[in-house]
Amino acid sequence: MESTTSSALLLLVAGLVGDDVSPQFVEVSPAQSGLAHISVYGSLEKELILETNGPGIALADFDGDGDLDVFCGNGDPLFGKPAGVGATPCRLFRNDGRLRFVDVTAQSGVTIEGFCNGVAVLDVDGDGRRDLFVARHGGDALLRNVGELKFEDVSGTLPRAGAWGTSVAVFDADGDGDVDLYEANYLAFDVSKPPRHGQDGRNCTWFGHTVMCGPEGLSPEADRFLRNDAGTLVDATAALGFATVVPSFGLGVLAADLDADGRSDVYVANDSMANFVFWNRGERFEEDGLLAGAAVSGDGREQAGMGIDVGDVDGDGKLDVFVTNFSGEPNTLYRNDGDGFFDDVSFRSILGPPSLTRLGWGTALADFDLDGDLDVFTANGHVYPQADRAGTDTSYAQPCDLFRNEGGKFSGVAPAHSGLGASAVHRAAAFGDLDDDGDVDVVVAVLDGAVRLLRNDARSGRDDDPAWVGYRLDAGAGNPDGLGATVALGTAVRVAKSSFSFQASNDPRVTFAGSQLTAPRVLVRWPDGARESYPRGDLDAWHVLTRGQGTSEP
Amino acid sequence: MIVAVAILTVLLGAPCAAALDDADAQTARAEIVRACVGLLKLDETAAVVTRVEARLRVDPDFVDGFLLLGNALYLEKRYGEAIRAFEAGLKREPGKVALALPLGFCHFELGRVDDAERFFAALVRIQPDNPKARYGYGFVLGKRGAIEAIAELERAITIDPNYWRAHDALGDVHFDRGEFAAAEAAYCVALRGEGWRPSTWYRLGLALARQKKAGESKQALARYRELNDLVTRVDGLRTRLLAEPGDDDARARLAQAWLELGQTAKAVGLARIVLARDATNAVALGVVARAEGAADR
Repeated sequence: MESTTSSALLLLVAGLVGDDVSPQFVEVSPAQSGLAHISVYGSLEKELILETNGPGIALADFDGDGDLDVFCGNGDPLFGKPAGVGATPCRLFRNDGRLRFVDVTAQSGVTIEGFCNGVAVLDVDGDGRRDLFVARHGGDALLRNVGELKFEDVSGTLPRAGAWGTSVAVFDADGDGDVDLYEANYLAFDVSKPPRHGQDGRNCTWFGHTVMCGPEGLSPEADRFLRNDAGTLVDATAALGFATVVPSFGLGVLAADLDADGRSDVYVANDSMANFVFWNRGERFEEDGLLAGAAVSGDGREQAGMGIDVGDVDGDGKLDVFVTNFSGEPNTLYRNDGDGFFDDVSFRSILGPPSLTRLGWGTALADFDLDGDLDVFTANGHVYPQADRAGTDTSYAQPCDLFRNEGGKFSGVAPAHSGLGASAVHRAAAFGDLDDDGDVDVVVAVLDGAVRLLRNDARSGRDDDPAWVGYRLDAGAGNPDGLGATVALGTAVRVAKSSFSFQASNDPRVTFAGSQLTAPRVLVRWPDGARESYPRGDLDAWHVLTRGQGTSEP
Repeated sequence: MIVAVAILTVLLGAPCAAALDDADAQTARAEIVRACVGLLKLDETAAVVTRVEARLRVDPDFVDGFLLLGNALYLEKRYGEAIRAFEAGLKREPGKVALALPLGFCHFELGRVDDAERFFAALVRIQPDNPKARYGYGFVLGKRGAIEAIAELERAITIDPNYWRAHDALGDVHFDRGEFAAAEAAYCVALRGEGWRPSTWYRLGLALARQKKAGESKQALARYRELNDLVTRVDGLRTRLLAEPGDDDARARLAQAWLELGQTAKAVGLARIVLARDATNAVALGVVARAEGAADR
């Protein structure tokens, strides 16, 4: 009798598990998708820090047909091309629907070369088309979208180039309606005199192994802020208060209204140094991350921040901050306590411990399983090939991780359920609904490897697929994606943002799912503070919310 | 890990395996223990690893050797290898709590929080009056946000009122619960014993800020920055010494940094190692002179 009961219980449990809506990522091969791109990023031995961070990725509707095209950055062989390697340009892929992509690089004019790191998508000239800003080592690139997936290189219009740009945040810093740009810079690196172990007394070791030098011991580069002045990007770093900080090893950056005062603040993840929190005071920005409790770990340690995202993970209406870090350091979730204070809840949230043996890069807080709350994705991979040696407690290639949100605490999703078991030296990750089915897919850069397309099958045509509703924000010329707008449905809050993760530009659209879908209207607070509400719209569909076409709200 | 706990639990009190060793071996072991304990206090971990590993090759049942080796590897953040060393020691002497305590922290550092919690819980059951076991358990519970952490840490403090890390961890638990005044009080006690720790000043600064004590918060955070810079310098020099154990210039500068952090014994110990090889090293001489001058005053 007992065994029969046990068997029945087991069957019941198995049934429940089987019915559970799990985010299941399925890797779509380059042969299937056409998204075929192998990055070249210096030598495989990674003797120089310039060779380690990997290229950026952007998902954006460059041709205005409503779906997300894909831009893949690339690197440079640096000291001689390996046999069989030709030119190593960046690439552009047109989305032809149903996760089929066509390489349109040759005719598009995006054939820029060099170490193409962070990517930002913004409408610089206010013509409604999405232009491309590529942060590079040795000089950034600005590619103006002239329509029909053709770009014109207007890099010459940029002010003095940053030495080693990494991630870029696009947002309306000055409230003038167009979007500006904050570029995180990494460090001074002279290719003609690269730093190496033993040179000039340098000791570049890790767990006793000789490794590439840096960032410690090298000179950090100051970040810069480029203001959009009627279609021209001008350096306004000092004018807006961004030059008041000690130059640091910037790797990740995003802009979001962290103190809910209606203005976008800026968070910068720095490598091995304290992170920055620039509070937007209206005319200027003031950095005070330390007092906010968000510059270092909860125990006061400067961490090696890489990727970053914000979102309301605990449903209290405030934007929390998540930062991926180096191995031996937990990824950090800073819970927003309000009044400009954050608390490191990495261990309490369970996100920290599993990351101690990982080195995290690209990341997103997104509702991957469409149950209404924000889950976490991290792309992982070490900087040192020597991580595979004994005694390091980590490895060079690492799997991506998915953590499911369960009431503000997270649980790791086992590889068998997540579909993320394959290890690789992952770097940037870009997030967006590539097949327009309502769930968030992922494109992940692999250092010196093929870019990976991970299709999210949270919705896969089943009768019990979770319901959702999604919105693209349109704030008009200069900000066609409504970047910086806050969208609320019921008690859930989402932000229209493209600049998050690591060296990535992402799908700026927002989605809602779960119990919030019963709300009849969706409320938008536009970047200038104006509020409008709109009917929620049909479920399981994308809708466009255009500035000025909603009902004004107090 | 579970195996280690089981051995520890079941066989506690088993006779010491070392009792059967001959007198020469005991003498050699005692000499290594004496020397290596001194070296560990100076963070001279590379020397400890070299000496102990050499001894273990000819004396594989040298349990205290595994303890020394594990501690050295722990200080080098080689947690996986440290676990293997501690477990090798426990296999030979299952009841040795000194080997078991750091195992819990090794698991914690590798992100195995469940294992660490179970480990410390088992230790508390075995030795309820061991403040380190209580601290370890309270520390892990606190990191998880469990209210039971307070009782464990208070118990550790009752047993050993000068257990500064326990005061510090208690402050963290209060902070995480939004009890900022209680956190402030606990941090202030911790700083009486270990005033050089930047993490405590940082948390104190935040606890003060949350209570809108802006001036005091600013002071605490300024102290944090100052000490953090020094600790960062210490970490950099220790990394260098791990790679280049013979770099006495780095060792002398490390001594100087420790002196600035108020760790006089460590500073003088390191300086004397340098001076034994180079009696003219100006930095090391300066450290000793400053330390002696401070002692005279």
